Amino acid sequence: MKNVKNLEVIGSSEPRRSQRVRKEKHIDTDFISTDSIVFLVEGDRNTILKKTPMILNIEDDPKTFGQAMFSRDVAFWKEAVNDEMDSILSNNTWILVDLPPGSKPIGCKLVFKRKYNTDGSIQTFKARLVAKGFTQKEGVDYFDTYSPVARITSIRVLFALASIYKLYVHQMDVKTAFLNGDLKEEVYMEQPEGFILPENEEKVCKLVKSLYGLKQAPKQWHEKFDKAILLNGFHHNGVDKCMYSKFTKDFGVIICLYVDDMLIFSTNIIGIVETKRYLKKHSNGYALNQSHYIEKMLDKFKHLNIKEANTPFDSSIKLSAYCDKAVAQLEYDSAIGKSYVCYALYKTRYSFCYMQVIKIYK
Amino acid sequence: MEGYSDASWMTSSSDNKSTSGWIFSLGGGAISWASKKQTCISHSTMESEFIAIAAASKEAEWLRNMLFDIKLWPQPMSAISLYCDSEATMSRAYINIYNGKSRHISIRHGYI
Repeated sequence: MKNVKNLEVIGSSEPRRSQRVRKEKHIDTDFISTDSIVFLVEGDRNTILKKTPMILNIEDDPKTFGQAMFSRDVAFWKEAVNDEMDSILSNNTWILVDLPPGSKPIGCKLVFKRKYNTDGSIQTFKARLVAKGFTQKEGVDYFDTYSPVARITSIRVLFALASIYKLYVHQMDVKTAFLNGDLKEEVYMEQPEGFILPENEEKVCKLVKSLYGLKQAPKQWHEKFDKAILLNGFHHNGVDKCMYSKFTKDFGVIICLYVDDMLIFSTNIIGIVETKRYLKKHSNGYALNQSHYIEKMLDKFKHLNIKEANTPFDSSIKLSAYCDKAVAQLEYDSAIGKSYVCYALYKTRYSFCYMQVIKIYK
Repeated sequence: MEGYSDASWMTSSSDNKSTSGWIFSLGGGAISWASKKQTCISHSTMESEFIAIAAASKEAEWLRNMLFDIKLWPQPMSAISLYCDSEATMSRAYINIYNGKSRHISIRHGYI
């Protein structure tokens, strides 16, 4: 038996391939390409065309600065670009210097994007300056890119705790988070198209703060946030470095950070207000914007706690006699799902081991 | 907080590996779960269940450490109970005898 096996191994020179039967992808006639945006609108054809004419004659988002300046929505794009440049310049992201000999500046680009409401109307025009980070070389322009995020399990644990201890939950997100990180490496960037200062055409931007598109941007942002929050008396959680907690005699606060979104859990409202005030002060007055209130979700939890429910799909858990007691999984799940919509995770998809899949897109 | 673990022996017919799964619930809702093909081949249902319970206790340890740092949780922390549906696995876990056959599953935790 052994010999036969050996022979087989020697004899097969072809690489091993999967045994799965390959199927041709069948594309329907009404196949919709992934580039297009699809909205579901109720009503017959005529009323829809009357109501939302822009759905059908929309331009593509411009690819370059030039295209944007020649598009129909030039006024909107200009406003968006000015907005972005204002926030960058007021943040002192770079200083203009002569290019030192031997170094090469990286390029940059304005990225344009329309944001839509769910009914297809345009919500905002957005422009963002991004550095062409792909031309950066490791060891020269950047050293480390790793930035931790909170584990999904710890977020779920915190929500469960919030329901048990009736905590307040707030969600915040940081506007232009990556612009806040300080840059340690020397990085030179070309001046952005359309914003080249007259008489300074030869100069380049020496980046002081990080910019979207740079390889080290997420890391720098996290580092800065970390430093700031630790100064305020917060402590790392031992196992999840993106969870910070602070307990005083008046209140206890837990912060969970996911790149630029954060969840704040607190035993009372004072804790949240204090934390927000500190964060706002620390980030040069422009980092934090609106917070979504998801106390509604907590209400739901409260009613969940007293409700006895047996769930049809808990067969996997019924290993012991315990689980007849309030395993309102579905409601718990929907509560979590709801909060995640607020939380705006990047394209999270989690399957609930056996029975259901919730899909949330940012 | 409770944890439940289970395994099914030799689910993958091509490479004879088993599948293990576990789930942890806190306050009435599931917080952490997994279903994974095991990396080592087990000789019996008991062994595959054992591997599953070891994986579950690894997660339990992590959760315990996390809750330990959240000061809301009553201290000292009570043990996390972990449920398993195999009698043989349980008795194997309680007895600390090494008989030369179980080196590959010798990592275990005494949370139960």
